[in-house]
Amino acid sequence: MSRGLLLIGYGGLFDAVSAQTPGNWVGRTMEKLALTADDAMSPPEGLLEPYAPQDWDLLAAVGQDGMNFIRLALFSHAKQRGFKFESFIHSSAVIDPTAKIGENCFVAENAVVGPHARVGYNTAIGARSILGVRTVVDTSAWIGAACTLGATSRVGANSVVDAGVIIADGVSVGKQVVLQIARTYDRDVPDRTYHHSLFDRPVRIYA
Amino acid sequence: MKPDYYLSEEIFRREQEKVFTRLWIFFGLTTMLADHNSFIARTLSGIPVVVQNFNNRLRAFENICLHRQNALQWEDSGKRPLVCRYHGWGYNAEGFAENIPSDAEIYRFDPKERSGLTLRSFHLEVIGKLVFINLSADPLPIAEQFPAEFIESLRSSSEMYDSEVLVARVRTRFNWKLAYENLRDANHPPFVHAQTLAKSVDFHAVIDEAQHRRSENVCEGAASGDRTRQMELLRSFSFGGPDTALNELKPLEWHGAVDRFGNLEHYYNWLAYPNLHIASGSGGYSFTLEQHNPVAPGVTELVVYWLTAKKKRPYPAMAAVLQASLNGGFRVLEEDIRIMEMVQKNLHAGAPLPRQGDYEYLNKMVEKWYSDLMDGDFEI
Repeated sequence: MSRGLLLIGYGGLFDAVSAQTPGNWVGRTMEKLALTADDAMSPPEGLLEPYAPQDWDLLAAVGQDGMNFIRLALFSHAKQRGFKFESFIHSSAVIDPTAKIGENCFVAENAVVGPHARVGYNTAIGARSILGVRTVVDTSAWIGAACTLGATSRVGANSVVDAGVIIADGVSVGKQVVLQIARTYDRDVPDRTYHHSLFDRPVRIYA
Repeated sequence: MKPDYYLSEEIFRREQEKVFTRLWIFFGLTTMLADHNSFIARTLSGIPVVVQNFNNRLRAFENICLHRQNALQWEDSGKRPLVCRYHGWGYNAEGFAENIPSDAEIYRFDPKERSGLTLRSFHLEVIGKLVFINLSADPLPIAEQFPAEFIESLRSSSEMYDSEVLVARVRTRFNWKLAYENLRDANHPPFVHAQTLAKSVDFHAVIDEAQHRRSENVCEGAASGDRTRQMELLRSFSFGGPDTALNELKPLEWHGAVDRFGNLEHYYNWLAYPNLHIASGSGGYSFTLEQHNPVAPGVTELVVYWLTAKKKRPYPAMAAVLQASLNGGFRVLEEDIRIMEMVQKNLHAGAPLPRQGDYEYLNKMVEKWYSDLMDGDFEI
């Protein structure tokens, strides 16, 4: 008997995956556990007790809230309890056979992941987004809808790339970066930088 | 105040000279200057200034190379030696051009000229983690500008700042004075911030009768050339500490990771005249610093710092906490900016003078003091 699949999370991503997986997914029995944001951020101790890791795989579907740290908190909570994760690849997405996609990833409708591209665990790729040849998106990142990530470009862990952003070939976007302005980024973006239309220049975190 | 005070280029120039080059001005945080060669660069009163760490010694210099006037540090902050990118002139902790590549071969300065190649330096004071600069060659003691208990309050609160800080800069279209008139006006939050700040804090304008009487005495009196009295008045413009009680302090996961400042569930508020505002809307778990740098009569650069209280253990998601503070905090700031830009936009030479009520005693005193200063009745 195949292992069951538990969809857990809240918000738009949870609702979208839930709508696309009525009852079962690729022949596997599905259960859905809707959480509050607070429970996802600090999962209660007994949250997963009804599910045994040997019988269930997980999909932790939480959006970009808290720079993806909430999804990561839920992912880590389950990992520490021995659960394995599935990834959700929409049937219309095109994944090159040489590309690698980690666990608990979400690849939405008509997204394209090019040759030798790599997507780290716990990362979401929005609808119609394109990852070029040898593009790397690190762990717990968020790529919004209709983004283009050029060949050999890189997006760091926990970064949020909002809809419509274009990252030029070879450009490296650091970790914990937020790109909210839909434009072409043709220079490297340092770690912990925030591009927002309200501000004349990028906002930075210094430590 | 008279519309001219917000519109006139001539008054702006006089204000830069009489206020901003004479008073101590907030410049940045020591946490951003912690390492050798770390620096912060800003423009104050039209003068580019760099504060740089030279082996744990903070020095402030004019950020212009003595050779061909190129900026020595280009970024707002960072870590690199004080070396010009144009022709490689390098400066030491005394501001002296210690290293000039090919000095003897191609420059051939005479020894007297060579020994005088030293950057203009500025006086610098550190209170807790706050760095202040004074552009005057002969600055007033900082204790003449700020009361002793206020300096102690700034010191003790800023010592609790964490080293991770989110810094944003935005150019606003209003005169800097409008920002501080607004900050001293406790009657605006229920109207301007009804959907944001006023939901968590019940701001009420109250009349301090003693201050009100003092304000009447100050404002009704003739222009005063008594510097001692005027400096005493100046000190009363800077104050701070716990303000109004918070309606509710929602516990957040990261609160457990920081050493909170104080233990009151209050909105904290510090105003350091002329242009620094510090607030904690989270009962001492986090802070926002706002610095308004005048650029032109109708243009002010706003620099905002968001930070939490000092971490007591690593907290990997701190970037998300700071980003959430920015998103929430900037909504409040935007509400203020929108009002002040509208006020500025409608000002003209014949605009009606403001009719202020008794609760606005502090603004009235600041205005009288400022008018006396601008009119040349006294000097700082």
